[in-house]
Amino acid sequence: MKRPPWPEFLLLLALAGLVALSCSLGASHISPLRLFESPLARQIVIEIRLPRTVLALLVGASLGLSGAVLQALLRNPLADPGVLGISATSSLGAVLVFYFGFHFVVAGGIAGSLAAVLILILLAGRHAGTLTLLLAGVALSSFAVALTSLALNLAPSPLAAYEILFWLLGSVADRSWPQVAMVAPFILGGWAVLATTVRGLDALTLGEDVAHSLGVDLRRLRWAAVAGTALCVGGSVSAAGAIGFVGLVVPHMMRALVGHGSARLLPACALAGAVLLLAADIAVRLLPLGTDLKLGVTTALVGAPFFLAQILKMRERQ
Amino acid sequence: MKSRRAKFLAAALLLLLASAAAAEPRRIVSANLCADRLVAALADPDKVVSLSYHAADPALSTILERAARLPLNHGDAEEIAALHPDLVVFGQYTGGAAVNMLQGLGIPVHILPVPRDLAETRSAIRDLAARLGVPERGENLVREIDDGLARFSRDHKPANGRPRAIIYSAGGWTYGAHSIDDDILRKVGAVNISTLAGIDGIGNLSLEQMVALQPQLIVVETIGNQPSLETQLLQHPALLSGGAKRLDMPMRLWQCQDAALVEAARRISEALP
Repeated sequence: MKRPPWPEFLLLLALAGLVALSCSLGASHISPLRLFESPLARQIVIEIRLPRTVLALLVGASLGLSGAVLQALLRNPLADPGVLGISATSSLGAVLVFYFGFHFVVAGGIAGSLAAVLILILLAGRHAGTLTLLLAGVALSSFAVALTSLALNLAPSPLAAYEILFWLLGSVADRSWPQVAMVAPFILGGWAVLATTVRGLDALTLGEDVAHSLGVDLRRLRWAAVAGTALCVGGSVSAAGAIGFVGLVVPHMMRALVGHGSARLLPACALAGAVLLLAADIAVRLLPLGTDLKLGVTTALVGAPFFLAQILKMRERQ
Repeated sequence: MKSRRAKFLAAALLLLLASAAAAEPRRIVSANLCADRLVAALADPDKVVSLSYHAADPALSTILERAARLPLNHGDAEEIAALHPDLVVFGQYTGGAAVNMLQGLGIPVHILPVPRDLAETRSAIRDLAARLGVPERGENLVREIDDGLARFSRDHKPANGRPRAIIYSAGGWTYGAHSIDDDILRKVGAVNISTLAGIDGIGNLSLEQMVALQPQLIVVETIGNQPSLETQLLQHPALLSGGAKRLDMPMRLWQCQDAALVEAARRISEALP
């Protein structure tokens, strides 16, 4: 396969285009070109469309990045925050905190995802095969979804039970700047922690012993990956719900484009995750369904066939 | 054919007489918040046996004192049948299977409809009052509401000079044409911007659509203060960044179509620019 020379550049270009599109599209047909003459256009673009766009970028990049790190750390091509139940458990944590009157929802989301990653590592063990890890993820995911549903039924607000779709399928619609500001520091902190794993992850592709002999502190590497994933996935889910498949699809596409080296792969995955999620959110707005379509629906429409194709590919290899 | 029709008419007449004879229930059970409030306003106090548990909820009820003195029910057929009522009043959508069960046990049931607009409100009140055997009290209550609302009618300015208002609930739900909300906004001399968006009856207006219609007054109806995503929408900074004024409407004034609407209209009228 012929690689385009600078896929990162193309991704940035796509991202800029999508950001512009995202700021132009909305329910009210108000053009951002009138930003400087009309206070109403300014209000709608800056207060309503922009926070949604920024949140989609933060969440998409987090999912792409954490997917790439998890796949490398667990040496499992099907690892992803959604598949492994990290997003679902994060949703559970956020739901418990939010609906029962503790306003710091992001703490619940991060605690949930941290618990999930730790449980996965304990359950599946360090040398778990692909299948063991995925089964652990399936169990964790189903359990977290069931408890989320229970928590929403028990929540004091009569509206809570109807909001399960948001927590299971995700949305960035009508999220405000204060909500973005609450999660952004944790998401950015998570990225920074994940960035420290680059060298270790590269060494790890050669096996644990080789990595160790290269001077990589495997304990530290593992903890950095766990903490970084918990921060950025937990922060994302707290503000936008659980959105599946982005972290699964993106690393595969990017490995084909930029190769396996983590130093290039991780930033490319973050970029591509942002592009994919923003495109999904624009699709949600363009589809003339008249209802609040959830983001997880569009990402699943792309991601699920991809997931199945991956399984077929793995079977052929065996 | 003719004899069949005559038989039918006779049967209908009998039924009418029978219902007239049963017209004054003495053991009334209400199993719905709005029915509680209307029954409390219309029926003799000693004839009301039980109200729904919502009647004791300070966020929803205007009849807390009455509720404190009566056994409260949850709308279950079994607990209601045990009270030996001779009339049970359910709401249109809240009775569920209990309605059929009670009717099967031979207990008369009156269904209080959810009125869409003021005209339907008047007939719902009149029908219930007739069923309770106190039609003149129904007329009085209808007059009280009509006269009360008329007090806040402003001089009708031309449509483009009237203040733009909306009644906006959690999750972006709002009422457009052919609704009580629209009737009341028009009574107090405002333009309901939901109708400008083409909403007929209930509809959803996204935050962006709502802001784009540039309301001057946003009447916010929240369902309690417990946290939920839908009520979070009402905290969005964009809601008021266009300079709109916000009026929080307590649920107990807006939830039911009875005399509380007059107080709601007074508050809206005072908040209008």
